Amino acid sequence: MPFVDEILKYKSVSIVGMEKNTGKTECLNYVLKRLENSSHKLAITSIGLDGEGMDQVSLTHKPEIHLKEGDVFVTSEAYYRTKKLDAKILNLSKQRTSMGRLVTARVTAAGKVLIAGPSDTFWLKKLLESLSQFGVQTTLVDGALSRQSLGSPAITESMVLATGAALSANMQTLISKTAFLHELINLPLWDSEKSDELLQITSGLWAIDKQGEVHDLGIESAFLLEDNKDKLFEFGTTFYVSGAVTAGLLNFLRMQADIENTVIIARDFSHIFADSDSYHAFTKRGGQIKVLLQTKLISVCVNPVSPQGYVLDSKVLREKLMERIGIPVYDLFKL
Amino acid sequence: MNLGKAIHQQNGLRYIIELLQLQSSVGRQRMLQQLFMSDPVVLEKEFELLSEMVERFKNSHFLGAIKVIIQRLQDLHDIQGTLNNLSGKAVLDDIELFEIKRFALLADEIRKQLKVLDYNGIVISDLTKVIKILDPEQNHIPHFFIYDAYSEPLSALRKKRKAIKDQQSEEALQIHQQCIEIEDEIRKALSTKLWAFYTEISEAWQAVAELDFMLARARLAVDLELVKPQISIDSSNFTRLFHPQVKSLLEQQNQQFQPWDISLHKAPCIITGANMAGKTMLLKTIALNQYLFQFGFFVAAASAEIVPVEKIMTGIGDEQSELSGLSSFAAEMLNIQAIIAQARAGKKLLVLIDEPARTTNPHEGIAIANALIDLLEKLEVRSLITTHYSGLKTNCRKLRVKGLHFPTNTEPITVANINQYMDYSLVTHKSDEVPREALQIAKILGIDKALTDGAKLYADLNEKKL
Repeated sequence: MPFVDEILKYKSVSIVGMEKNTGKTECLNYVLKRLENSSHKLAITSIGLDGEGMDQVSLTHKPEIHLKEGDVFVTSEAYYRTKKLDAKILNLSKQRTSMGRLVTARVTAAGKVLIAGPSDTFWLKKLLESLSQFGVQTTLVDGALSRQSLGSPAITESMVLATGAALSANMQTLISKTAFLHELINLPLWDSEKSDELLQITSGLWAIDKQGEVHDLGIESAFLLEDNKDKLFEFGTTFYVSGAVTAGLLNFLRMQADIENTVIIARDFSHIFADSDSYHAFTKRGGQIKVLLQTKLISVCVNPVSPQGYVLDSKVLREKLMERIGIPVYDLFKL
Repeated sequence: MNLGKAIHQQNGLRYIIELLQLQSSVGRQRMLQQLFMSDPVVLEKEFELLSEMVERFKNSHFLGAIKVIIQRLQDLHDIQGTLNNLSGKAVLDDIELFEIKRFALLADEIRKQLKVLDYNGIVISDLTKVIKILDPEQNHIPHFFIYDAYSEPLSALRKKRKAIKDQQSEEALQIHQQCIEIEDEIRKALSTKLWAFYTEISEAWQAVAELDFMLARARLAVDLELVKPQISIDSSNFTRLFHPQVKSLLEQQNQQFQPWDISLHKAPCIITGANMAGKTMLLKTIALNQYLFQFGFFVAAASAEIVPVEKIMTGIGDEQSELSGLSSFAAEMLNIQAIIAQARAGKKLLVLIDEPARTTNPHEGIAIANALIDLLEKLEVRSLITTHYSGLKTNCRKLRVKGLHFPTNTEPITVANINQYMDYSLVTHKSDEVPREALQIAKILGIDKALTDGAKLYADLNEKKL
């Protein structure tokens, strides 16, 4: 399986679903199954999950992940107590999630477990660094894309995207939405010494002047732009948006005089909530968006079946999508 | 009273506590519970233990061991919940057993490092037996599961299960069930063995907290150049007393803090001096250092002999008061009443009052201040009182801050350089008169000339009337 070999080249890989039931967990289990006989040292955790055993929206069952002997996993103590495998506890976190502390453990007899990892990006970063002490070579992160989530999968080196009929039962819409996300994932990195400084900032709209100095514009979020138009251009046209990059912000900036020189810096692709139309209108006028955290998209997995029972033609979907985004697309249910 | 409460009442103390480098949450909890100590014997012992630790800190030979201890303290997790379950004789689960094993290994290592330090002030109970229970493979690594080594039948069943191809088969599931039963038995047996060691584990837990707090205080003493106080019976004597926060602020501005020499007897002492001469700062510094002393910290001076008291009572203007909402005069008088009540009840006090009765007319103000000093004298209250009032009719000890000395050159004194021309040292003051430098200071502050000149006219007029 080509993309599984690809995964092993990275220290961390997030597996991200564009929507619930797009087959993210199947994708994760598929990778794990393919590596059953590999000696590669794997760890599994998650980020930004609400950690419900049942999917609250569609009431479908949230599946457990099957791990083999020797795998390392990180999950909450609540889930650790419900595990259906044998494991040796290696570590326990000081910090707590809403589901308790995090247990790091090594599987001693294969079986299933529910995974709920760190609740924020910084914690995940620390965790990923710490796992190497247990001999881990690659960590798979069950990721989520959510406006509410403080955790972003962009902290991992690479990513596998799960998409499918659950996102849209209309193939054209599904392809457009997926291709747009692919475009956002490939946004250029804002390469500057100031990157780390900006990552520490978690709220508000900021400007970076010609000398590279960072200024607080005193605007809490892009949603509050209308009342603060006067303050916006005091330090030039390079902005750091610590929270969501909204359609409103892009539409507003597009109308301004200096749009050709306008650069928006976002934390990462998951913080861009503008729709495709607003985004493209913005870039067409010369505006640019860059990110502080960048991840490499290895491949896309599609699930042609929606939870309501729609089924798309897998072969056509794969081919059209591959043509559009230029990276491998797989249907795991067909492999 | 404990330190956690005192921090909220004393701003200077809060600054010191924020500088304390505690490594663990249990150390922090221990610090907040530190009691206000009045018993000379208890204090003597506390300072002896701290002094020994400070010596270790100053000796480069011990740096390695101290560094390891600090790292291990940082690794400590809060196991209070698990300890509660242990004392309640509950069967512990794998996570709790892991916690105890991890703690026992950390505590064991800290215990070994304390031996390197040759420090006997804190004893960490020997948990090797606990480690032995939870580490049957004896590899001393902090991980845990129900090891094969606990039970031969379990080990055999696990091997048998692994050999089965289909893990979902009836046979595999049945063996798994048997494994679970044996594992539960083992957890119960381990828990029962550990119940017997509850006291040792719990004592070790408290001892590491104690150690964290002790190390933090020793480090603070070295960093801020604090000194071990001697315990005195009748008079407190400070040489080169200073306020760490203000000293550090001045040093940042390349200025020097001028320390005080002062002694306090079992009677009131009056401090006079110009405005800006640091009278209030002196009171705050004494209050802070008395608190540090009674909470078992070294103090900010070159040397100090201090009389322990049962209560420190202040009227300096920055204390948190339940009396807020009252007029300033009413609040002040009620505060003084509280002091008098404690003194009458025979409590051993240290009283520090900044300008008593300053919030009313000077005629009655002097009368109130005079009567207060008489009363404190009669009740033998160790107290320090600042005042601007002339003509206090009392025989008690009076000190004066030397104050401004004017430069021989023509450089004008300004707010920026006043520190250079202010002599903060204390001298014995014989007369009833207090220095009159308010107008001069007001000029230095750049107050409107119409105001200062006008005030001068009125002052001269009053002088003539007298």
